[in-house]
Amino acid sequence: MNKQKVFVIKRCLLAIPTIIGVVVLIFVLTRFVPGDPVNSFVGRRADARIIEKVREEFGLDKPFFVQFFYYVKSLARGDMGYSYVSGQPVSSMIAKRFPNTLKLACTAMVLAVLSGIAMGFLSVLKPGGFIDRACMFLSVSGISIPVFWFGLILIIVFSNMLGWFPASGMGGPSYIILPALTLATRSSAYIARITRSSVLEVLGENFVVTARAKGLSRTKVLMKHVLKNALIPVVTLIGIDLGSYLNGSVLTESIFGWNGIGNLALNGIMNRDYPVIMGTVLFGSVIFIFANILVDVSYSIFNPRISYERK
Amino acid sequence: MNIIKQHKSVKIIAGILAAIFLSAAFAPLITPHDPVHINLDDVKQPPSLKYPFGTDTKGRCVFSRVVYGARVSLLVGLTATVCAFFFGVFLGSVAGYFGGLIDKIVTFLVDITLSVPGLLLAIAITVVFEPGIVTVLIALCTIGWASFARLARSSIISIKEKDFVVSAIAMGSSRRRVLIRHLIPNIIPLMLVAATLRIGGFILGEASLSFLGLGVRPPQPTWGGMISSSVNYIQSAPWIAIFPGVAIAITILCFNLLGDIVRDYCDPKMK
Repeated sequence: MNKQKVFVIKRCLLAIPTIIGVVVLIFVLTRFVPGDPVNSFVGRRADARIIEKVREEFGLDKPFFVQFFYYVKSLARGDMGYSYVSGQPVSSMIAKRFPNTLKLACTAMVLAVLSGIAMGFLSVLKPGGFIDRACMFLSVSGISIPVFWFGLILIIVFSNMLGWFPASGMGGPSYIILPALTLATRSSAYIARITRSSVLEVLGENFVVTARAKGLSRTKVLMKHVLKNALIPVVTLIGIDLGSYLNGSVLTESIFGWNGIGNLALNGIMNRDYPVIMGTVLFGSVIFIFANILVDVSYSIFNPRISYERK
Repeated sequence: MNIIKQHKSVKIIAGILAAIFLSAAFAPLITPHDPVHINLDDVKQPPSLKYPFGTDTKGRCVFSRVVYGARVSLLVGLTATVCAFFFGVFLGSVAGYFGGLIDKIVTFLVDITLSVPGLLLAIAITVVFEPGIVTVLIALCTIGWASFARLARSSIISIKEKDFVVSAIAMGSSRRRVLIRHLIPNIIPLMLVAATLRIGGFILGEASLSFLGLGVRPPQPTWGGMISSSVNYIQSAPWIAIFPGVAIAITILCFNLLGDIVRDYCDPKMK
């Protein structure tokens, strides 16, 4: 087996304790959920015998660790419990909405990567110049402005005032523009900053100086020599930033009435529908962990110089 | 001071932040109305001389609410930063210096915390406990301590073999004394820079939780809560949403710009 395969397998194995840790964390938190879960299942006025029976049926009379074992066992079957409100299995509720979130997140990611890299490059053309300062101010603003507020402003401007895009709902391509823009802002701002500093760093290296000395134009050097090398940190950032898409979708989807995981979580919060909330949190975390593995792996493909040994 | 000479914008940023802090501290003196007083005769009034930022759906003065909202945001944002900083530096330093089992445990906890999307974890915490300022603080600390701990741990490891530490041990200092008197003071400047950069994030976290209805309970005004209650009225009364958002954006922007400047000043390489 070559080194890279070993690295991929190692990286996957390293994720196992983390996932177990996350499951324990969520399980402990569900134990703190106010009120008796049985009451919410059979109703407050149910007969004491029925309550006892349900308690037994769900293993709620067992000790903590046995309950945890049951919990893990049902998770392994893909069972995340049932919604208090709709009575549907949480896993199928998530499965139904995940494609929508994925669609939104991917669109946002494309927007963020394109605009972020473009902004980063524009600002490097003349470091310290007007464009540079403007781009960097935009990027600090992008990090500082709350996602949910930015979404509302976009609705006010582009939907209410200009009437270009629908304010909320799902449908044709015009529906995805505003929520994707909202979701992309933060990430785009980060990418712009990282692109700028990493291009500046690469520009100072010897092979760039050599390329320039050979007589290649600045643009050609930027496009051919610098871009490839400068994008490595950007790739890592995209991975780290996946969390911001998951966080952001909770805040964005409700504003735009986008029927995804984020909206599901928010409805769960409003109805205090604990299985749904914990299910989405767990699902989001696991997605995040796997996405990070993917990024680490692609990082090792992009940059063969990195060592496969983790410290 | 050099930092002020190098960056003229520091004065402006410090001025704006001072203004925000002062207006939060002296909120009763500068607000024209009671922030929680419901006045159904003046519902959804656009900005006017009487109501500088207009009124909300219950006739409350948006300007007064924004000013009072600064109290919650600043209090929670800064306290959370301090708590996360304290826990992070403490655990990270102990782990980095002593190594062994305690290091493994702390590193594992850091890895778990950083591998869960922050807001989701904060939601899971705030939703199960009694809503209120303490719960929000706990949630923000729980998601925030890890990055401080990671930085503190690696900085301690990078200096713990240096000569001044070895000589302190040779002089007969106990391990505890070495850690508290020699190592931690050395990493504090770096950690403070990291903390400055993170304040904005904590304020944003508080605002996001309030927006989701998981923050400080109404009627106490919070910026996030005000925006959340305005969502259904952005067509008829956009000012209810606009002003608290501007307040959040300006506050966080100032903290972030300040953090950038402090970082550039302390260590231009730490980008």
